[in-house]
Amino acid sequence: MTQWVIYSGLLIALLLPIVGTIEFKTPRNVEAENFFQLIEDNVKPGDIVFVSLDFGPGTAAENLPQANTVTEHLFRKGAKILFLSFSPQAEPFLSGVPTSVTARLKNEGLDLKYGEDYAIAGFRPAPAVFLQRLVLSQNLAESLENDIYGTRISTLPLANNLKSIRDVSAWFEFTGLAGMVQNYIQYLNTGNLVKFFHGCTSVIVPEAYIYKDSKQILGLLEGITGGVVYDELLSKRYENRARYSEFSTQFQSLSLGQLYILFLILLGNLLTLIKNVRN
Amino acid sequence: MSKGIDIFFKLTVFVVAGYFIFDFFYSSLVSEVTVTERITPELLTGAAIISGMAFALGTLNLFLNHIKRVSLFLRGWFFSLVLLLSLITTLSAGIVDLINNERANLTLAFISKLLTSDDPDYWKNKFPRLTKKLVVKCGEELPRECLVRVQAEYQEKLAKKGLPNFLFKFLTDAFFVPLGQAMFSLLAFFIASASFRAFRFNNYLSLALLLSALIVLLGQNGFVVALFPELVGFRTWLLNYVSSGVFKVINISAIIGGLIIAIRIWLSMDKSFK
Repeated sequence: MTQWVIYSGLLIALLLPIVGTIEFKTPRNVEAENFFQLIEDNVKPGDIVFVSLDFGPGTAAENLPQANTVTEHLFRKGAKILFLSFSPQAEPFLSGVPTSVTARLKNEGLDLKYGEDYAIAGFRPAPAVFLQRLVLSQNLAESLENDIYGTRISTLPLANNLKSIRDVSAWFEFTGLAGMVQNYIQYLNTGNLVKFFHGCTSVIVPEAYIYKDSKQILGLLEGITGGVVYDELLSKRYENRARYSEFSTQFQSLSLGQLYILFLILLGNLLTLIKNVRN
Repeated sequence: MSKGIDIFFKLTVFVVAGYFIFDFFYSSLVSEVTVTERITPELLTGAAIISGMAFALGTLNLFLNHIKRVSLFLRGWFFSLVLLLSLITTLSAGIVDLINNERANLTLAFISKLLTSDDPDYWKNKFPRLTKKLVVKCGEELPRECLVRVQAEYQEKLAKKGLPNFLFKFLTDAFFVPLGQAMFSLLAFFIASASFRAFRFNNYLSLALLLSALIVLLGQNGFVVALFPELVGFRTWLLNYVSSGVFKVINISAIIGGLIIAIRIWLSMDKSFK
């Protein structure tokens, strides 16, 4: 009986923002604001950036808002993006994220072309091996081999100036996998060779803070909060832009769910205390 | 295992691991292109191929185990059957997509060859029909700019058709993504139940843990931060200083432990597989 009451309470808490009865302001997030400003200051039109989508369906609720909003910002800044992933579960998002973002921007008159403005390298196994090869490569575009259509990436206009890792202006990684970020930090020599930006779930964010402290991660986005705050910052910067309302709703559901769980913890402890006092 | 073979394997491990250690320090000390910068990428490609083979072996093992369960009607045979059918369906979808991709991507692959090959005439003579198709669009000379433009057009056409990997995408979008998300969503209910039943603060340490969790969670909660904006700063301080400090200790300890294990494996002192 108690279990059903708990589950029903959680379901109601999660549904309230979805059915539209509760809505509140997005909180401030200092890291998201810094991330935004770093892209504004460092990414210029024509810069080549890599975006790694190392997440699967399980953590897509947190990583997808981050990936969508940052990709949109990079496209608006005129960057040329190469999408790839080291997680086989990221396959649906590797084509989904660029497709949805470019479709959104097309409605605002920004027509982005595959091969010129972006390309999708696809899934690559063994990140440690692959990243080491990239760093050692004398012809980076050739090392990347084929894209998802089987075309040599070196033949795409985007790869015209891609000779070595130093031609990559920044690398953005979005993941929910613990330990994945260490591959990039270790093998890309982030902080010296490559400017590295990281978006992760709330669960693994503490392990990313230590690298932010040592400037091996320049920008950090924390969970769905980071994505939603970033969305708001983008709307402030680009006035006619439509916001991602579904991400905002997800965040509000999550917030209410968290409050409910905290309430359950306190309630459980209070009931135990009362029981102990009676005994 | 005979002593000779044992020594041979130990020597191989020592030499191969030693090469990578040498290459790491040598490349960073020498500024010009070295011979190791030509050898190492090939070795790393070999390592990736071996990982792929390990994957295949694992799949074969899975297959054999579950076929045995199904054929002997052992406990849980139905779930083994579901697993086998899913495995066969996904493998088949991958193979069918590979064949479709090869057919659809033939023109793209041909254009890639023309753009990257040292002898494009060889490829023009080998595929006269494809060459004729491109000559109609680009003229006899087949200039690079035109080939790149035609390449982009084909890619757009493939994307509109849902290629590449049409079947695989369907399986992923229809089954894998919704099932994966549903499975992770169930965790929310388990956490709710566990937080009511199990999370008890019996001493000061568990109370400190609860208070820290409260601050971090509430500091990113829009509803609470609207009432108490100072929580954002307190949360950031807790993550930047307290949590980071602890994680640095844990990480350094884990890395030192990993280094010791790596040295033991390099020197074949690790007996865990004997």
